[in-house]
Amino acid sequence: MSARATTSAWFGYGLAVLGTAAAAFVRWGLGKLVGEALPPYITFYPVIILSALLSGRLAGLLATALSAATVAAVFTWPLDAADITGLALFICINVAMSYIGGALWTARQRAQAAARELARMNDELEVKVKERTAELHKTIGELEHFSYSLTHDMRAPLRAMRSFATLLLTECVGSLTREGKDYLENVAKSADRMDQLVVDALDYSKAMREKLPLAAVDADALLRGMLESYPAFQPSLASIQIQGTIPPVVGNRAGLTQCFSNLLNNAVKFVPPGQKAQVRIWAEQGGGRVRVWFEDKGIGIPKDDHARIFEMFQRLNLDYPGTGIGLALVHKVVERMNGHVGVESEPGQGSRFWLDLEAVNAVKQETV
Amino acid sequence: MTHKTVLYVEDEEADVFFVKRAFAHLNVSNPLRVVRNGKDAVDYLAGTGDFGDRQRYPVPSLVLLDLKLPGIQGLDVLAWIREQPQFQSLPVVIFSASHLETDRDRSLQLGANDYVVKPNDMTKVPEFLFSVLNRFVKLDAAESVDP
Repeated sequence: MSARATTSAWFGYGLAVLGTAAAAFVRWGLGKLVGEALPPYITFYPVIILSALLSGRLAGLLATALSAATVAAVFTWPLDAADITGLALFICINVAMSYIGGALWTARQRAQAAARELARMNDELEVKVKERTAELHKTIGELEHFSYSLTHDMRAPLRAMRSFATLLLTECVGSLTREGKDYLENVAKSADRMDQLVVDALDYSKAMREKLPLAAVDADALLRGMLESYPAFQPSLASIQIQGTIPPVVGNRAGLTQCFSNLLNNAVKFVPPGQKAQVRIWAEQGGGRVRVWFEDKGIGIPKDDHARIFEMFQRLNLDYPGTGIGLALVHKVVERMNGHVGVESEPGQGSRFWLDLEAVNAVKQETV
Repeated sequence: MTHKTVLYVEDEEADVFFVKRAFAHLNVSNPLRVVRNGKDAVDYLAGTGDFGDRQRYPVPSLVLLDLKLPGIQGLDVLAWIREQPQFQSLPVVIFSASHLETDRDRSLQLGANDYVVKPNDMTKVPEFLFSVLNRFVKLDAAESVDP
């Protein structure tokens, strides 16, 4: 039993003793005031009931015993048969009262203990959550530091290698054999690829870590703006058509730009050598969703590989430059915008990639 | 006009090599002064420490600033520059390997005039960097010619 319960018990016994004395005093006063016809036990009931309710059965029983003794000794002595019957009845009633009051007291104590335990567990949980959150923040901080290092420090030697290789190729080309030139071009190309890998991996980890606040985005204007401004999507290099209007979608402007750009870059890139890319973009709307299609007439993708292409570092065709991160990034970003990405394709038949995104309610306004 | 100095703050030897080379190959007449860390950059601009001689270390007309430096970081140097009354309008161009939007935004917020991402092939410095630098150096020239 806790210190609190002991204190409560002593309080109960004190109440029983003092309350009985007070009841006797009041009963004595009332007797003087209204005459001795007043029932002898009348003022003792509240004390017994209160004692049992506030401190449990034992306090109630103590108050009962003290009350019975006081009444017998002070108000009804000497006892006749009727007094003894009355006393017995009083004792029976108040023992019952003590038990009932005690049961209520116990129930209340238990409820309080349960509430205290709950509060304690809640506090513990809060401390644990705080600890875990701090740990998580630390990990994220370390990861960010690592990314920062990758961006700024680790790419520097790569840049030097790449740059000096170019210098050799341009300035010392006279002293290089044909093979030597080939080797050096391989060095330069590999350095470029390594750098692109680092950049793409950084973008991917950023897409996983960063918050992507969602809002209504004018996808049509975004796409048309990209077609106008991206060098790789110019009409001289690729024929890209948007059919109809792309409805506004719920997304993140930067995230959507990344997805559109990666899908379009793939559509433009994966064409048979010497062919100009032909890409058609259109959208379907229904059931609160917008599905944007990107159809190309490129080299296509075997059915067995459809799932694999959205995984990290998966490159199907090594004849084309790339890092195998582009579609993984689309997959991750579109997922974080509550959307999906998929593909329908056959080798030689071109590919149709789709992005499934939440449509914008009429109520929502363009905020980004 | 040929005396407008460019101060390049850079710790990467190779990057310094390629920028110097680009200046030399394209006969850029502006003197290029290079410091290797943030503290030297501040000392140079303030004309204190080893850089007290303004004949040898003239006040630059443009600062080309890397972000990741030993000790005092590029952004701190930038903030210090903008705190100096005499350098409020000194053109500062950030030249960093970082393609991150956060680095670019932070730089422009702190008062950088432009932000150029280092090309992976540094022999392309003229294409990537000089058009930007030209804008600020030319602006200076135009101003001094006008009156």
